[in-house]
Amino acid sequence: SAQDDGGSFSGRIVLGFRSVDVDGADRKYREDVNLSDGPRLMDLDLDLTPTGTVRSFVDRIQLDVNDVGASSFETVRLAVDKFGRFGFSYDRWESAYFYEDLILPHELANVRLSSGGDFHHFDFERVRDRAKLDVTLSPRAELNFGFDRFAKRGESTTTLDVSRDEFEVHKPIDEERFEYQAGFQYAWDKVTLIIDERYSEYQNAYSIFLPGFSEGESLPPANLTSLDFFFLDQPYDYESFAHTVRVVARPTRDWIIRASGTLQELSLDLSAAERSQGTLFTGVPFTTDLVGSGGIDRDAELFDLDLTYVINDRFAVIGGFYTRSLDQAGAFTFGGTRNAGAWDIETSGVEAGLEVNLAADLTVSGGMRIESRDVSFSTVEAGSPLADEDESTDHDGFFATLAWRPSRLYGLTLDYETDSFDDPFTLASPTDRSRIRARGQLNLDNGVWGSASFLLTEMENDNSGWDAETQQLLLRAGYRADRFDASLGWSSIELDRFAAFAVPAIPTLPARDYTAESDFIDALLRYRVSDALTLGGELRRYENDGSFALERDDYRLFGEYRQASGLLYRLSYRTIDYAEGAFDFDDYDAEIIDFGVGLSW
Amino acid sequence: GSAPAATAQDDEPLDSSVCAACHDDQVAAFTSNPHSLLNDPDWGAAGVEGGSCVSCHAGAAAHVDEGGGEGNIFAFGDDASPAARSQACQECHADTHPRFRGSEHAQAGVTCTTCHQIHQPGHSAVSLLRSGPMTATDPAEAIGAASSVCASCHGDVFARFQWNERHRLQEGILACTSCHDPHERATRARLGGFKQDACMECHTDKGGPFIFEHASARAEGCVACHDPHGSPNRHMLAFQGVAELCFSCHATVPGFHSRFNLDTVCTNCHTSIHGSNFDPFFLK
Repeated sequence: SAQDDGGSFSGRIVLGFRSVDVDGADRKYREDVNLSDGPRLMDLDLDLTPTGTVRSFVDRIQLDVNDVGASSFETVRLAVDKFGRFGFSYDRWESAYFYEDLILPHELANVRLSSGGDFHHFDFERVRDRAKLDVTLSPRAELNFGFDRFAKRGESTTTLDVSRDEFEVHKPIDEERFEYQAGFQYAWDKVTLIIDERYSEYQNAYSIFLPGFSEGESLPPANLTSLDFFFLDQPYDYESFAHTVRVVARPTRDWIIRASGTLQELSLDLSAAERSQGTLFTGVPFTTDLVGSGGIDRDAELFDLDLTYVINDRFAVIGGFYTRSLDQAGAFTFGGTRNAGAWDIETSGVEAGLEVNLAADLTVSGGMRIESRDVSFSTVEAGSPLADEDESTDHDGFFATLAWRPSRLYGLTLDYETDSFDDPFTLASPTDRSRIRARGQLNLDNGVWGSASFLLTEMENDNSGWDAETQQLLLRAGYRADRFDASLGWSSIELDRFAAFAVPAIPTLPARDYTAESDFIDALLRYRVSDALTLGGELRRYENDGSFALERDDYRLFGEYRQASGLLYRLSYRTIDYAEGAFDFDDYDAEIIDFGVGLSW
Repeated sequence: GSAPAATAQDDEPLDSSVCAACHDDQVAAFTSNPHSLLNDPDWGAAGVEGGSCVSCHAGAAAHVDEGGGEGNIFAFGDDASPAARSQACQECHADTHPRFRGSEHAQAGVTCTTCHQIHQPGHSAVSLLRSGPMTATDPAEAIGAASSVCASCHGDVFARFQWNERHRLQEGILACTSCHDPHERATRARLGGFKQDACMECHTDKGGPFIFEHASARAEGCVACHDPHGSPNRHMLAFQGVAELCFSCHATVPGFHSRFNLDTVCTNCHTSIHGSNFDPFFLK
């Protein structure tokens, strides 16, 4: 770095190429890993602390760019600060998503494994741009502005049920959301007022289509369904406003009172047009040519009141009261048929807790919470009421934590919480839930560190017999020195989910006892051989002996050589071996080689 | 001995150059740090009392008088309770994190300085985060600073991101803080009906609103069906078999469903499972 009068300019730029070779199920590789080959900007990091006149305007500029170019995951971050005047940040990320289930002959397909039957395909990109500007008008007053854009574009397919048969249809993905935010904050000596306004708009060019003839899957004479074509356009958009006022008061040093209220309004417009032609399962031809339009309005209100009272050095009382309200109604008339739906959800809750510092190294806290929710919804299909239901759920819970931290070098935390829900909304939602967790940490001054944790979560629904249990054990240890970094970790996760299906129409459904017995092992070794050369390797192993058995081995060797001039070279070799227990349709071996040349200063 | 009280209200202002005589590295690093404002007289006039180092390190006068040493200055050390350490930061930051004291982190004795480093040069946008331990769970070395810090304590959660079906934390696309606010109370969304708000920032199309909502999603949120940290199962569902998940709740189905079983993929017909504007049974 170049340094002068407190200023500095350091950076690194690495250009490179990634080679990817997949042997086996390429689509499964894309689902799991999805690192693509080609040239790319591996790294661009700039960190500037200016001096002289420029410093009067900017204290710091930081740029961090990762994997831009032929990559499936790209991130960019820019931050510019003048402390006490303004702070600006911009973030961008792009992420690819791919999913394609294997379509197999029925005798081989098993949807409970990874093969067969889920006739959906996704291949799209998500892009998010976010910018934030905080302007400090004075030590007491601040303005802030935000911008958030999210876009999702690509291809997908879905299925369409037509006259007792399913057809695979195209479903292009094209959606975009913008959010604009402006806020103001003013701090008096004991009270701070915060106002936040947000406006967002969202467009979705939703459509599904089958451009040409397709025969139904079921063959004649049992089923004569076919489609000549099918087009459904259902574009919709909405705009939403959110108004928030928040007050934070500290009438004395012992009190923090926070009150916040938010109103949200959302208004959605949708239109639709459908054209189709084909043959029903009876052999009778049909056509459709329908249009429709409608809209949905939603109002939401959130109110929170939180109190913190520090009684003395040892005791603090925490309390909170809140309400949530959602009111939504919409109607859509399509082909002369009117559908409608309405929702009203009212929730209110109280929390109270006590935090006790028994000693500098021992904290005990605990509390309770009570919550009540009323849900009512109604639907109208083709002009006739279809559902009109009211549901009430009450929840009460208790939580406690014991934290023993005698030193920054080691500590232990135990926490327990239990909740009961009276009449939860679904039969797979818990009526009783508990979680116990223990964590220990060790960070010795000589570079040795370790951690261990145990987690047990239990959930059950008394009404349906559904229950779920998770047990997790984690052990990690490592050693960090000036030139050496090593770690070894093992985590075991056992998931058990039991469902006894009571479906009168299918009395033969067996109960399902699903397990995922997963073991993860990871290790890292990084050695700085000299100021110029760093070598290392890492491994990750995943083995699942449960209902969906599989193994994945992931190894990587890497090295970086940096000349005194700042020129640097990187080389990394990674191999992934993925194999499923029951079938080999989705197995793959992948080799990923990254090579980069760059400069650092 | 025990540390002096955390607050510096009664301390006389002390120029940071006095501190620099012994702590020159830390004072120098402070100039590229948002906390350098503490040396600005305008901010001092606005209620940031003490100025400079004394704003956070109460008892500095005694520390100077005694020629340095430990126990005579509030140094955020082991001799101070977690509450006292966080309280020192809350003197200025109560406006931004007024509910931290009631958060699960505070209950577990986690303080501001557990995650944040104060003296290092840093950008306010990344909140002066410490770096977490090096692990082999970031092969692309893209994991962000925020997630790395979280992984120091939440290794159990971090392990779940090693399942095949996961959010892209390892690739640096998401951070723990994309969905979680570590300064907030975590309990408030259990029945709130708004728990899917964080999900909808990226999965906007799944959030509707729809004429016909999937009631479980509207009332209980996305986690009624999905494991958001990671899952062995497709689409991060609770079961690999879709029917196993659906039949867990839907006992009442039409008679013609008698030809189906646990190998059936319900969403091949009920395609708009998150909600539909056409069909109450999500067929279109």
